[in-house]
Amino acid sequence: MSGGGGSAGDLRAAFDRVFAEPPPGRPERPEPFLHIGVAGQPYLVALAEVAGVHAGCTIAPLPSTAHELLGLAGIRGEPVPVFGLAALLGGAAGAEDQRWIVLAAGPVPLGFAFDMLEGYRGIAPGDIVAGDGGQEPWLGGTAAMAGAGRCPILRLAVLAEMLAARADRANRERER
Amino acid sequence: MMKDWTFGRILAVGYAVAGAILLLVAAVGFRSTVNLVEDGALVTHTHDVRRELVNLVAKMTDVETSVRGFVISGDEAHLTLHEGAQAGVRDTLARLRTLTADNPVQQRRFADLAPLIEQRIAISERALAARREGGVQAGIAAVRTGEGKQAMDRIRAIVADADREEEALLARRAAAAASSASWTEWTIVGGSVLGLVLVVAIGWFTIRMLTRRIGSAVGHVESSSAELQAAANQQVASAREQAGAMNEIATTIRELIATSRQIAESAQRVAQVAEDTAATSRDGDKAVETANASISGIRRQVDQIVEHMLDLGRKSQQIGAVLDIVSELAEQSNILAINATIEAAGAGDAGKRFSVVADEIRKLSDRVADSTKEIRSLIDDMRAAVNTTVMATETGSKAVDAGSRQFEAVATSFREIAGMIETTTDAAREIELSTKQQSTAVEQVNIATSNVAQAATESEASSGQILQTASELTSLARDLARIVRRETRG
Repeated sequence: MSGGGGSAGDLRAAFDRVFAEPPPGRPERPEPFLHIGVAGQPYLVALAEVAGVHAGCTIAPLPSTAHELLGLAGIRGEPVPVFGLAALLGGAAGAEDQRWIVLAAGPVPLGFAFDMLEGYRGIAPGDIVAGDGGQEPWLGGTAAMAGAGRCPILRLAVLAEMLAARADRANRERER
Repeated sequence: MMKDWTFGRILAVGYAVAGAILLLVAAVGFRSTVNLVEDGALVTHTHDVRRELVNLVAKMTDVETSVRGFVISGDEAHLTLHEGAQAGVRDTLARLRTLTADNPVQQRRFADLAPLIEQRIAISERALAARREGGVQAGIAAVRTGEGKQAMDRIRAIVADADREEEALLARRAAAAASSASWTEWTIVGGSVLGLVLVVAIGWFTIRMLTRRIGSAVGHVESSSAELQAAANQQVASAREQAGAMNEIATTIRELIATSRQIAESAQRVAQVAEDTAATSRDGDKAVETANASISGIRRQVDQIVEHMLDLGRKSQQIGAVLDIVSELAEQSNILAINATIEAAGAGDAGKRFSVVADEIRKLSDRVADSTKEIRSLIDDMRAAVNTTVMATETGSKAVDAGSRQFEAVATSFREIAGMIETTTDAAREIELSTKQQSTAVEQVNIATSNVAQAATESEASSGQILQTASELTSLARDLARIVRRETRG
């Protein structure tokens, strides 16, 4: 009898809980991000700024004054310049095994190498706090991840613009 | 040197010296007496010679007078005297020659005398013949010739010479006899006096030496008897103490007999317990051997476990390798899904359905990646557990080895203990036997001690007798000392 009473109680509690919940509205569509690790630091990269992710590509080194430039990698039949994210973000170049390459979306194919791909993350827009990076303009705010605290959002487009501007300056100086 | 002489030697030497002196005096006296006798014999001999000389002259005178008587009277009786005188003359001359055989001078004289005697006898014979043949006148005429007188004078002269010779010899021999007699007298008197003096001196010396030595010996006997008396006193006291001690020893030995019997009984119980312990030890040895066999089986099982765990480790490594492939596939799927999502987003509305599929593929790859991570974590945990188990098993194996060795040591110890227990059992039996023998020996000692106690009591009595004898000896030594000292002073 007690078992039957217990089951009836559970069914009643479930019934009450269903009607106690508010009616579901239009759910927020989560923003897709890539969760990566650069020199041990977690970053989020908006999937909208990514043209592709590749692993284990061979990078042919190029002689250059830019120490962030790792070399050229053949991705989908095109040569793509690859920069080390750790060096760009202020770390030591070549400190980690940067086997992952993320292609930045844009007119110019540009690859950024990093050392750890944690995976895909869908983050609700409410959990995203926008902001400028200040002296680090490649950071575009933070986002809260379940069980991982807040993680900075890395702006690949900003990094691509910075590299393009630096290349333009270099070209102009070379032309002068 | 004489201090070391014995009494017998001193007395023998004293008597020997006295006897030698007496013997010397007797020898000298004997020699003097012999000389005296010899000198007397020589004097008598000289007297005999002189008597024979006188007899010779007398016989010649008889020859002459008998012839004259017959010539004058013609009586034949004179002839008988004449014949007897002739024979007597010849015999006397023969004796004289014999008596003076050792005197060559007298022998020469008698050699000269013999023809004269024969000449005188021949003259007489001629006168006798003339008387018979011519009568008185013829006979007287024959006598008147004077031949007979001449012959007689010459005979008398020779006899006188011989007599003087004998007289001189007599004088010398008489003087020698007198000298011998005097020497004999002095020898006897002087020897006697000297012998008496020497005997007195030897006796005095012997008495003095013996008295001194006996006195010294008596002094020693006196002191020794006093010491003997003191020693006897001590011996009496010691004998009493010994008797008391022997009584105490007898009491102690009786207690020792009782204790020895108790020890024998305890040793018998110890031997019984040792035999029981030996049996238990043999059972324990068998149990240890059984346990050792079990440990050997455990060791084999542990070895099999280690082998299985190592095999499990190898299999987990193979699983890890497969999981690496799965993980890599999941990663590639994830990359493809991400890229598909990106491509779907770039395709706009046309890519929405593909985006949903790519999202499902990405979720699937995420799940595969998560499962792979979990499986890897599980495999890592399992490999860690396997490694821990292998290490623990190896440690257990080593522990089993150590336990096996320890069990071997325990078994060895058990065997040694069993051997020691056997030795202990034998020792306990020997102790039991020895204790019984000891009890017997102690009982014999008790008997001997009783005998010794009896002997100590008898020794006490004997010591009392010795003390009494020592006291009497002391008194006797004092009396003897008084006698000797009085004799010495006397």
